[in-house]
Amino acid sequence: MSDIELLSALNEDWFEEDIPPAEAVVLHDGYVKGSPDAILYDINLTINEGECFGIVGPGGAGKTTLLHVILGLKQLSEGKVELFSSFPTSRLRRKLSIGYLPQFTEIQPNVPATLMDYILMGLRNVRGPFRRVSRMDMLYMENLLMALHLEHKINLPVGYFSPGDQHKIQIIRALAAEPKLLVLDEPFQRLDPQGRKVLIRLLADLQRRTNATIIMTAQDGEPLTAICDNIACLNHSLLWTAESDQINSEIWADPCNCLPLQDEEEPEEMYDFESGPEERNDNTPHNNPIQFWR
Amino acid sequence: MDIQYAIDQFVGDKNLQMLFLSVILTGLLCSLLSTFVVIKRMALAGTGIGGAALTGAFVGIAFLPALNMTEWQILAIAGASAFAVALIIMSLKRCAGAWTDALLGVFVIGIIVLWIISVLEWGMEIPDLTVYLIGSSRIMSDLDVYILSGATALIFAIVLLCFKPLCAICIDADYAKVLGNRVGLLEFIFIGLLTATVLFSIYYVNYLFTVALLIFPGLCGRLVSVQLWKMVAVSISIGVSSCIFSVFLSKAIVDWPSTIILVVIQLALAILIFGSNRIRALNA
Repeated sequence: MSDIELLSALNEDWFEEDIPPAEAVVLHDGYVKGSPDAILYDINLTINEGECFGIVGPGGAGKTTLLHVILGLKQLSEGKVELFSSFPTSRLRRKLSIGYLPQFTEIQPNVPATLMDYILMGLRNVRGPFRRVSRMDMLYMENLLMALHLEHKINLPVGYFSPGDQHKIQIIRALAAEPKLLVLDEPFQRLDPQGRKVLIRLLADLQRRTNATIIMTAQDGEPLTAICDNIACLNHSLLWTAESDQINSEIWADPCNCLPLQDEEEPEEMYDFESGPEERNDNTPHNNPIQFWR
Repeated sequence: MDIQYAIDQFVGDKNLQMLFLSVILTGLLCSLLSTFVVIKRMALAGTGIGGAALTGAFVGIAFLPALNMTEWQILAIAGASAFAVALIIMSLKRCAGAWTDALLGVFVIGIIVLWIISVLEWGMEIPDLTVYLIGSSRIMSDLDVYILSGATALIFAIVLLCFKPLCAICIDADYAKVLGNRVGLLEFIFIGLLTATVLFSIYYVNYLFTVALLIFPGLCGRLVSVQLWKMVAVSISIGVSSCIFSVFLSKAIVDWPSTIILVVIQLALAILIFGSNRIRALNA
């Protein structure tokens, strides 16, 4: 083998070697105190840049709290959280481009904004306080409005829309800035099947163009499999994390009490029926759910 | 009713020009913040801060005469008192929620009762204080013009700088926080601006004028539009024009205090706009 052939073979090896993606979110031993029990405990989580990560769990499992912890809106009682390698502060949130869909709450009728003002709010901080919204931004917003059939209502007061439309408006606001980090709290909750399809298409399009990191929650995990790379089940602590293609549809009947298929090289993590669940060594107040392999 | 005579008098009378200037500048300040006061449901907060400023002035005039304080020192006591109450209002809004307005209502009524008792029962003669409450506008010296103009420019500049974040917290405070706005700091800046505005307005015009201008222009703006910047524009237009009109009416046509005319004009405008909105809604 000549030197040139050897060098090119080596280079090929180097190129084939996986460059680990940067970490967008890192949570280490996260614990959030609640009253009387912990809202979250034992949360160890890494979400890579450009990844779409789904969190599934029943109501009251701490999904929204986890999102607030990631965004720095709620402090951890113990543990460490990093957002793009920094502690999440308001300064970091100002610097980053973040889109956020809160869990649905009705917009009050007296909110002083038209539909357009409300959506533009998502852009203002990202594009700076003094800069006007560019033509490209406007075109993108028009596309979003058209996709969700709201393009003819931009001058109507936002408080007078139906709850379903208000949810769509909040989705558009979250997407408007083409954010680097998109956090969606139960985005599929009030959408009809057609709306779900459109949202999945919009998210896929955003991720393809901007390599955005997307974190979303749901009580029903099935729609998440269509878009998420990885999905975790949360019930105060993370019960399991798996790649979407490892999860079969039967799991969604009771995700907290079932585990997805795992790779064969990880048998030591399998549940041992004889010895029962491992005892937790910390002050975790919630009982482990009964888990079994499917 | 000689309007030409009134205009000639205005052109030739420096005091009258200064009076117009003080009323226009304070009207501008109050009506600028009025929209945010109405949107943030802080109408009673403005009234309460004004009441606290009056209480400070009351203490300065009635209980500390031995110190022989100047007007600026009394204003400083009033300012300290107003700012303390503003801070209490801020912390109450965070922890007491709906109780804040009730407590503020009790506070304002308490001040009015104290006022009546001190004049009627205790026989206190406090003419300076009555001027602060409902008296005529102050005839400004050159120094006053500089101070009020500077304060107006500064408050306008701060509002302009913070306009978008202020709008964001008026529309959706939680989302504004996610975007990285420091909501607590913005609330603090706003209440600081409100306190300064109330103080200047009470000092240069009077309390009733201030309260009216903090509520009615913002209310009219709210009734006319659903967009914040339009509300602010309508509020400033209505506030300033009604100030000019009421002083002009007071000096040239009817012999009523300009503050009373202002309140009547603004109340009539608010009722008119509300009525037309209702009629339009019924027809639709």
